[in-house]
Amino acid sequence: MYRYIVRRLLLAIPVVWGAATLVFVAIRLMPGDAVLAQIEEKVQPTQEELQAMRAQLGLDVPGYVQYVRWLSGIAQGDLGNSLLTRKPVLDLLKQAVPSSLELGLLTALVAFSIAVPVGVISAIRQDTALDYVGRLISIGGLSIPSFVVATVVIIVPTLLWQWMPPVGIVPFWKDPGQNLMQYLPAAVSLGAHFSATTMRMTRSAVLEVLREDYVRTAHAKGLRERAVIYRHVLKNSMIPVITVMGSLLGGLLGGIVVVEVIFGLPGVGNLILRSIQFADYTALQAGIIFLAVMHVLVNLLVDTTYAWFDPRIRYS
Amino acid sequence: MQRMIGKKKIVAVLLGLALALALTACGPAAQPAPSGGDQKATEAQQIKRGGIARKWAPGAPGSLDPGKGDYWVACELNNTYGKLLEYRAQSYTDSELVPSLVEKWEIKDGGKSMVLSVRKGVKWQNIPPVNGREFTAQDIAWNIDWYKKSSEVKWLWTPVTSYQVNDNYTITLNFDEPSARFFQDLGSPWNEMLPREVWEKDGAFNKTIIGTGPFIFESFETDVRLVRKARPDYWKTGADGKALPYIDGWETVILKDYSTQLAALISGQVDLWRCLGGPEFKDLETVKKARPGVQINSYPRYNYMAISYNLDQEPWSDLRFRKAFSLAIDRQVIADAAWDGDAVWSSFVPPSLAKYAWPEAKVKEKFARNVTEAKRLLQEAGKTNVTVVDVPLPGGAGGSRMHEVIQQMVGEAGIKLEIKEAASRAARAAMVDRRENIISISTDTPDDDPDGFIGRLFESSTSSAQNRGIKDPKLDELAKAVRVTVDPAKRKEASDKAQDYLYEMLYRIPTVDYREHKVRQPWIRMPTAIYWAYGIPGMDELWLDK
Repeated sequence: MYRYIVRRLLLAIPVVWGAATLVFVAIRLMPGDAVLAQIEEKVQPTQEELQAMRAQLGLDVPGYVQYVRWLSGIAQGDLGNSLLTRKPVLDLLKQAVPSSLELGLLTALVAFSIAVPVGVISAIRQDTALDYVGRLISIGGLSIPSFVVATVVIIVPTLLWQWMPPVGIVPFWKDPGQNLMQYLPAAVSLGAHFSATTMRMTRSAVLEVLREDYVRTAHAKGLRERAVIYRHVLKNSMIPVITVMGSLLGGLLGGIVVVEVIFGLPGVGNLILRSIQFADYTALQAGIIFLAVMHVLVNLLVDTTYAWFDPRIRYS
Repeated sequence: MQRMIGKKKIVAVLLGLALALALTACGPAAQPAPSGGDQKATEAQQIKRGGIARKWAPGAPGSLDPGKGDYWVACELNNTYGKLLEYRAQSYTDSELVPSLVEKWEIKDGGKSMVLSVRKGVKWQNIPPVNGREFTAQDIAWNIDWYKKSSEVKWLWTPVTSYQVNDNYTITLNFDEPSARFFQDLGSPWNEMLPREVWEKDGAFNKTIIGTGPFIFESFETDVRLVRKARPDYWKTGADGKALPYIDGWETVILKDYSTQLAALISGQVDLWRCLGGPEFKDLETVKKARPGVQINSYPRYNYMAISYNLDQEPWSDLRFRKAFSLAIDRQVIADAAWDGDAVWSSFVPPSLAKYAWPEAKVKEKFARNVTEAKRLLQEAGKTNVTVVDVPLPGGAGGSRMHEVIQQMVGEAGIKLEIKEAASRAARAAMVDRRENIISISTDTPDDDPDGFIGRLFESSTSSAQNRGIKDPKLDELAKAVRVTVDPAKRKEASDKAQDYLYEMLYRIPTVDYREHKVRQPWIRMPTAIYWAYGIPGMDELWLDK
């Protein structure tokens, strides 16, 4: 098992490196640079002043030199300084990551707690009213983007009851109640979308397992339906569900940008948006590396849980 | 029985009314309207101290250093730092200056020198390394040097060629030539007085924030909030005779999304709108309905939407093409389609600067649409079927619609306008590097002085003119006249001449100026306007009536 994990982690290095390199190149292909993006309207620098500012940020050297400098920094555990705030990017990530992780975990929780029960009910009551309602919810969740749900979650209660989730984020350890009031609506906005795909996968996986011989045998033995579902069907149908959830959660971390902005959550999404806005190359690269690492780790976690659901699986 | 109870009730009510009338008759006679002094005393009694005011602001900049010339910092730290003069700002177009750190001033030698008298007894906030020492004329001297050498808003102090600190409380500033607008810049929110000790300790102003203002900087969390608390020993006193500010502190929450900003206002989670801009015109009715009693002030901005281009690029180098482009545009269509009719036509000095702007009738006559003439000019210039690239800057819905209507109108005259979506820096890069034949439709640097719309944009020594390829000695002379003429009537004359010439040459095309709408919750009591040009004067006098 350990060997498997180490091998997977080693394989992740080129994946993360590739993603970071792609971003390094892509952001530099865009017209303009950090200096032009950061100068204020009230400041009208001359070309010489612009060049001096570029030199100050290390942007006066060719792209490949910047790349080598950046890579050697990473090899020494230094992600560089933000071109916007001049603070170490690692510090910015440390501030942003807890917020995104909380949002990610709550979203997974919301998505899982909607998707699995609705998916199972939809499967065991196939072609009944309950199934149709479940499928309708799923189609709705798939077709409505998260940012629309997020805007509705903010605007509708505001217009109806002059209420919206509290603004000005408070950390969980300071006030758990208020913190959840701030993060849960965002998690619901994201989770509604992700639960749709997972629900459809759960339904089809459960339907498949329900037709297996061992399920029929369990019924024949006189086991109650609840026991059959819990002990035999659910556990055996979870592998594809977990796989889908894993890849969705990896993708979710990239999809949090808009939702974080709408709900004013100070996470990696907000950091990435600001970095794009101000062409803060180093912060953007660090943000993308974080997302890539999270994607790899979530998928690794998913792969290692297979054995729990199916003891026949061996990691070698 | 029921009828009896009914009668008893009526008798009781009548007796109650009679008693109330008798008591009223025995009470004091009706009071006359309070006199000025009484009114102040009544106001003082009404004032409620305490509470935290809250506003929102969009994403914070990278640095809190006021020397970077950032709007956000200028607004948010305006009440932590102090300025030599403050805007009176009793309305949104009241740009009169009133004493602040400088108590009085005297202009000498026909405008070639100015003596500033510093208010005695004003202290810096009592925080190391400044430790509450007195603010003196030496501080002004240090700031002049610092702004000119180390800030990115050097222009604030460039007119000052030398100075003498006469004593602790007076300083004489000398100019090579009179500068009519320098005085206005003393109240600019970018012109905060900064403490020398902090620069000596940190070599920057983004770590330790200490000023002479009424609020002490407490904390700043990127993408979350900025918090300040009231200073206990501020030099100004309130109507109740105690030291200002009335509130215990104020907080700015970071909200980047417009729907969220609007929802925060409607749900009562923020008390004030940000310094810059306001809710969109179309949303005002929703706000009024959702929050009865909400205070809305609408005012014209010190700015206008202009079409700019690089003059050393074809086809813009040809005056006939520029004229044709301008003639092809119907400003009223822009006002109606892009700003729901909530905009006015503008010349080179916006209508909000009423003292210097052209009269409305003249603007409408000069900038009237004439497609036939536009086509004739294009024909004459041999520039039919020319394509012009437009890279819109990110902006509100109004801004986006503006591009589309302009595209349609110039298309009718035979000019193809190709809209290319790109980030703002792409547009700026193309304009600054003068690589492409592109136009930029945007508001330029806002200003409350005509020099900001003439000299600062078109004088060939400015980077703004250089970046757009403008080099015109005649315009330089006219712009200089606006800058150095101190007499208001003569300055108006100079400004008119410069505008006439700009109209002739069309180095940019002015279009419309849309209004902004500032919103405050019903419980906010504040004597001044919050506006980007002023910062937030009067935050110390804000109190919460709830």
